[in-house]
Amino acid sequence: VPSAAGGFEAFYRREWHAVTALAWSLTGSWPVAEELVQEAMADAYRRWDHVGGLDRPGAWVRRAVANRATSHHRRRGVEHRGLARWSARSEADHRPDTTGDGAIEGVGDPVFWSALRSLPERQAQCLALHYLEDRAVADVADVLGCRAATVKVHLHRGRRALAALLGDPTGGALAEVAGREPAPAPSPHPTGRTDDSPKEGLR
Amino acid sequence: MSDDHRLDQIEARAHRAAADLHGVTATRPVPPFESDRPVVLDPARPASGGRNGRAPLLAAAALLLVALAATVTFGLRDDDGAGPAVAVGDAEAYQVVDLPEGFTVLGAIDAEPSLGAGEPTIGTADVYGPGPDEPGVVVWTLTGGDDPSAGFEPQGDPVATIAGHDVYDAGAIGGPADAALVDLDGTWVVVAAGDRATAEDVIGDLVVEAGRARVPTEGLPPGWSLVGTDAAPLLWWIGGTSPVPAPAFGGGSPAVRGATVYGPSGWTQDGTGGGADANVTLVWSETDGGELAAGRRLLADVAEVDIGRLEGFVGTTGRDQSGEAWPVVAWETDAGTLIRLVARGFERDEALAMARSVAPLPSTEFADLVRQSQLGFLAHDPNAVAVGQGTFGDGTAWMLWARSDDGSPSLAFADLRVAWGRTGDGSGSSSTGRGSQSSSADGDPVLTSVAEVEQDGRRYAAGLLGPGAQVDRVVIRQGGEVVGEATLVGTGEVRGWAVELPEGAATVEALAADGSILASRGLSSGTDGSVDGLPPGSTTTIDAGGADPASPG
Repeated sequence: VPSAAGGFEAFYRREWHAVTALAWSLTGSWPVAEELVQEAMADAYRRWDHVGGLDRPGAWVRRAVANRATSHHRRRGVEHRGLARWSARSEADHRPDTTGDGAIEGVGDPVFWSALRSLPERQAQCLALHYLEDRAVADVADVLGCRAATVKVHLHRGRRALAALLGDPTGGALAEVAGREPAPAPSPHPTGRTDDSPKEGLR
Repeated sequence: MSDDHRLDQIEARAHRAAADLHGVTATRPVPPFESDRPVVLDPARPASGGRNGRAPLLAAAALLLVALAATVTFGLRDDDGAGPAVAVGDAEAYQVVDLPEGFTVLGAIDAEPSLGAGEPTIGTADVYGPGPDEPGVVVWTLTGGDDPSAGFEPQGDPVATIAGHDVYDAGAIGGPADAALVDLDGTWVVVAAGDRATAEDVIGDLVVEAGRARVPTEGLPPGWSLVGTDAAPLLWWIGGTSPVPAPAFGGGSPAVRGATVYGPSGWTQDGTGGGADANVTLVWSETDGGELAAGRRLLADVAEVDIGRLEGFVGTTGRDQSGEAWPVVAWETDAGTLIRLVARGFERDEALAMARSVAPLPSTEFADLVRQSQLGFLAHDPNAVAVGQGTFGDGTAWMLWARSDDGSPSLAFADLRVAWGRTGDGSGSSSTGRGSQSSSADGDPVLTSVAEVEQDGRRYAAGLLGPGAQVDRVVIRQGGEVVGEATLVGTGEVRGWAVELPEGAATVEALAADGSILASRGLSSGTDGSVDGLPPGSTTTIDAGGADPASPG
């Protein structure tokens, strides 16, 4: 896509942070989020003649990320590639490990995001787009490729589910959320190897 | 703490969390873009949206989705063995994988938009309540063309009179249990509410506008609103209405995309009604959530269930006029497809197990099932003999069967099946035509049974030839001129013919090798029933010596 490469580069830099935030909200892992964004951006780059001509190419990429996030935990390869790539970068830059799962400490209210990720995926996607990007129902529907009425339903259900999960004064629902939270992303190993150590062991 | 207050708190917390996440993300360096990385297809590629719209891409997108959904979801089943294969993406068609022992496909139908056009014949249901997942009351306006009650004739005396309207028990006529059938001055409305007080309040406030009942906002409890609409609420009862759901679509269920019916193999069905003691219907349709909201209120004993990782519910229909009720499982896929599994003759847990085995069916396999169904191959009738098949000049596929009640070829009647049309509105069209039962012993020995089919404005005819009849050609004559020639099929004892008919009345003639007329029969003209010289269905057998075919023999 040489002729449009310049336009894509600007698009990539302009959208990367917001799309990565969306990906993190749906996966809870920086390596996975960045990998999903790279995949979606690569897909957009390959077809930039088309995507770049859309009214809102950012919506296209967000939908691609949402779709990928839906299946990311079933495609462990994504995680492993992301970890390996990130690990290599981290070592090369001699940066401290601030982007692994330990970085969850840097995100405020991780319980909220855990609760959101425990919802059915479509609900989580609708809520993430709504809260993170302040998108109206029609915009969310456009991004996800469904009807506005469907988004309304998911938002309604999702809010109530969040209220039930986060508003339980006994903490029972939160404990349940913690128990249902997907296994944390493995930490990048200094050698590039990954393991399945629990989250606590990474801090 | 009120629900509203709790939700407000969640909103505020969500916005704080979002702002914080943006802040953290903003500190992260943008990695270099890897333009040479291999592209991994996502499970549901984004639609184009924006500039060009979706329509031009629908066909390709559907194929991609089917392929990817099948790949991804079958992969899921292998990975973890949990959840239905419809968890990711969407598909054009679905199937029940874990069928009861001995069950097979009895029929399949794809609901082309052209087949579902038109006004729903059985009405539309509006759902009111605090939210879509909390349907408080369903107001189902019955519309049946000339029949304002759409066949829901009230039985017995009214159980109540509310605001001057007679109220009947809807459950007594096979409708929703614990629902009211209300006569709103000629407009019949089913009102299903969770309790009697709510039902009475709603009925007292109902108004009819443009033939549709609705509840004014001021008549709703605080916090309630219109939260959804079900354009075809009768589909919740589909498993009991017919083993082959085509009739339910003909009147207009534009959202339905397809359905498959399963039943005991070897069970004889004629495709128009009746039913086995047990059958399973799988229906998939578009939805905006209104159907699920309506189903939650219209069905009895509704319980929320997980279909894999998707949310759904299981409920039970009201008892039909034979006193039978059956479970229904419904859920929505990620892509907004509503899937309903209706399991007549089964327990709820059995229905749920079948629902959890639902998986995408490749579109080519489903298309093949539909074609087999349309042409009668799935009828499993031991008393049917395939006479022949072919394609009419307009491209419509056809199949001619000789069927009999007792398996006797001499008493067989012609059963002509033609594939659904792909043009026109299709409403009211038929895909099957049956000839009268005829005996070569006491009826016409040549044209023993003739069947006619009219579909999408086109007319077709087919028939059986008597054993031993020395028929060389079968032609269509109109106004004295031969205007068409039928295709002859079959061999030996069972022979037949099929032909596309011209507009207007015509006769069919069986000719001997020397051109002499062996028999002649009038065919209807389709809409007005007139015939060309002969009464519809009358048969004239003419000696080989020949005679005026228009003259009653």
